[in-house]
Amino acid sequence: MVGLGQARIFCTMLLLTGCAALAPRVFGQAIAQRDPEPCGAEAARMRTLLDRWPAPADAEVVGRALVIAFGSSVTEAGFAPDAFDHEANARGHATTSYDFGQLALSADLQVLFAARAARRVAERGTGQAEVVLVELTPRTFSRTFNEVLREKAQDYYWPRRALLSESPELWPTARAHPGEALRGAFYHHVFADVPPRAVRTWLGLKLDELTTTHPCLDLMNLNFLVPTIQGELDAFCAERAKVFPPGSHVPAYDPETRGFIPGYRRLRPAYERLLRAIDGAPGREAALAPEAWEMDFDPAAVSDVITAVQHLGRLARRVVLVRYPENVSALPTSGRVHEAQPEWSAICQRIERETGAPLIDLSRAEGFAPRDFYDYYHLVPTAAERASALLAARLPL
Amino acid sequence: MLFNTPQFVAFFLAFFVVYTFLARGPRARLVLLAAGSILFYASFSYRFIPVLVGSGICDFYLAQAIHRAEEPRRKRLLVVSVVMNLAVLAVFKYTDFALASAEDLLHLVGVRTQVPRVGLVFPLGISFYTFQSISYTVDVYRKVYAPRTKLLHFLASLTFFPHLVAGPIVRASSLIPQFEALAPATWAAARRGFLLIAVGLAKKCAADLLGGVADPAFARAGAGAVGAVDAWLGAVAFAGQVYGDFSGYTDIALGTALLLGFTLPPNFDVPYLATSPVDLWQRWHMSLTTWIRDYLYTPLALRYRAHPYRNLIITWVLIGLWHGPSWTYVVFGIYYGLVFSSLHVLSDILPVRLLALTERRAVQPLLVLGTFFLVLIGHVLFRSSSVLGAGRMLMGMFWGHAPARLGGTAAWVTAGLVVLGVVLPQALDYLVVRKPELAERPRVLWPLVLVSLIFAATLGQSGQSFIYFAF
Repeated sequence: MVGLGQARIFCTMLLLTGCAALAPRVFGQAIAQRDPEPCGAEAARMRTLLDRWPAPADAEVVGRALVIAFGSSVTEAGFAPDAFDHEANARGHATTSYDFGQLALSADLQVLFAARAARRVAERGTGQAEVVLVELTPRTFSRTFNEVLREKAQDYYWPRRALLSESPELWPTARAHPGEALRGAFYHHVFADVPPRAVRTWLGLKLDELTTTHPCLDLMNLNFLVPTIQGELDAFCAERAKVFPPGSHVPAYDPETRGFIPGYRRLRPAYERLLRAIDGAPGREAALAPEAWEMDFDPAAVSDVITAVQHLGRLARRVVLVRYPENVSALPTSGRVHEAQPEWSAICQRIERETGAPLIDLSRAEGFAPRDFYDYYHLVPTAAERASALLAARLPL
Repeated sequence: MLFNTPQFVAFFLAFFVVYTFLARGPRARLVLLAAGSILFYASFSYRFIPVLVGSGICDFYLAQAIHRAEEPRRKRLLVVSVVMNLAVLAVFKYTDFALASAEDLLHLVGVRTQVPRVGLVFPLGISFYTFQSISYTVDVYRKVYAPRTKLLHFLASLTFFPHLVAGPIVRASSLIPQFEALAPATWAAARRGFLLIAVGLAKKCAADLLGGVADPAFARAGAGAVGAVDAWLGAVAFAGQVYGDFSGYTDIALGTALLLGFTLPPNFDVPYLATSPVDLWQRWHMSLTTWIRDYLYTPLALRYRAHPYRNLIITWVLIGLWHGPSWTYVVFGIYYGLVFSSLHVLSDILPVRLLALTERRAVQPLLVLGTFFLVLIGHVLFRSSSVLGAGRMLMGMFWGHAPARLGGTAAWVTAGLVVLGVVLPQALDYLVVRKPELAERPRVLWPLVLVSLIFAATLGQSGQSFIYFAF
């Protein structure tokens, strides 16, 4: 049976196996596979954001405490660096603060992003970040919410590829191999002329939903939207769309607001006009309670956040947990959500206990009415300024 | 140990060395084939080895008894064999489905009770090797094939690892003689084997990439409304995914068998070029459809000549159920039963002159598109996780108003890539199956092998499971 033919078959088999094994080294592995982060597109987005964050200028940090707020859209909407710094200065503490809140981020990824930023601060020779604020919001600990995020990462398979190919951190490796560069160029070529509306992450797609589905209340949940002021919403959305320049799938850093998504601040005039509109529309101030699924707490997410905060604690001088003001007036009638509040408080206390990071709880802070919120969590610009001042007052600097 | 993992490559290289260079004599090689196949099966689940080997041994001795016996004892022994095999299949695969359906039925008539479930996991490949075993005893009963006297030949052919877990379903008359001869692979056969393996891996890779478009669309339909663009993209992507996945698996199975000196029958023949549903099922999963034709449909049709449509629907519902215990497969079967019955009626009532038009070359592309459209609907029923989800997906395709996930250029680019993902594997299939003399020319074969391997190695994800492993 054994013959030259069999030896030839075996040698060919070895040769082809070798080719298959070497191919990824020669031509580059698929970008998605080489992405070292567990969260793929989200992590690439974070890296790109970090790259776009300029090193703080000496004037901004010398002799001043560097404060960075991390979190989801709740931080993005609820933290106003100027108001925070103003209040801190009034109390005799010179601070420079940044708003790094990002839409649709899971809690663990927020903290990991914070850790990377803190390390970046240390690496850039500006010393350790004085204070890192970490947001605690029930929604980001929800199993359902995080599953939706993961599903979205899967949903946007091709845009995700495009996003990764545009991640500057991947470019050096992409250029190292002709095949990799070719693939990167292919994706870039295919998607480069696509308007950001179509390709950017779910943030942009959510915006599409806002503009195409009436009454557009899903994410922003403006609540006071009435058909006569639909034009205002369009302006709101158009302003937000400007954040993404054509060909770019991550927002640019905005030095004016010291954050990445300055939409809320820039929209203050539009917001004020909306506010005037609701003054003439009685019954539009009903507070919105969170959905029941937001209280579907995932123990794994809690453990992940504890580990990540402990890791962050080694990179920043001080880590502080923050619960931003909540639109609590609707809670008593919200059934399951109301019942879950003790569980949520216990989770916050557990994170505080196991990480040693103090918790500043503004969730029941006085002076916030339903009209200070877009929905249950998201503060309107004027309220964000008040909340940030309150935070600066309570933060032991 | 999936075909697309380094573990399988290592296993196969080691097996090839031992089988080809070290094993002395046919008996040693047969023992090695059976042992290697059982080891391969054990890498998925060792618990079900007794089921696999046990049912094989029973059928081997039952076939011998059938061969020796006279009527009516022969028939009784055949019934024992068939019932035993189907009972094993039913117990493992359909018990919980039957219990759940009984509970639903009781709820419908107002009886609120919870029927307990058995919770059995069905053995991998049971649908494939059970059918193969049944065909052996039936062939012996029909006297088209004389039973073998050596158990080892039968067991080695039944458990032969390239086709054990997802087919093709091979007749004993075609495979056992090869195990008796144990001819070594020729260089020409091995070259074709390499080609099939490389093309199979590339198809599997393309299928996984298409899954990135199909899976979210079906998941979305399972959860709620889905837009027309997403639904169409998802359905077409699944057409490419299921074809690439299953035919890719089959190609790898055929290729590895060729490297060991065995020839397995083809399972696909460029199915999406079919010009009618009947034509399609003569090109898609051919080993199952010919099995069903020979052992189920033909006996039914001969026995109940007066009820051709009923025979068709029963046959198709059973084909649907063969895929798994789910109502979506039942609906899938009913759908194809109705399609076939309708074609049957049409062929009876339409004038011959009109039917002759379909033979014209100019009409063929229209027929191909029409058939693909019917196939897409079948695929939606097949892929959906529930009948409701399938309904939503079909609603989305024809009346979907939900906002699309992708819009503008991104949707067009995705659509283009999806079409490419469907068309390219068909083109490869056409080249390999229909034009072997061209594909096996060294100047075509080796570049094709290398390009396919590089494509699979760089873009594929090692260890992505095969869809038909679930059946």
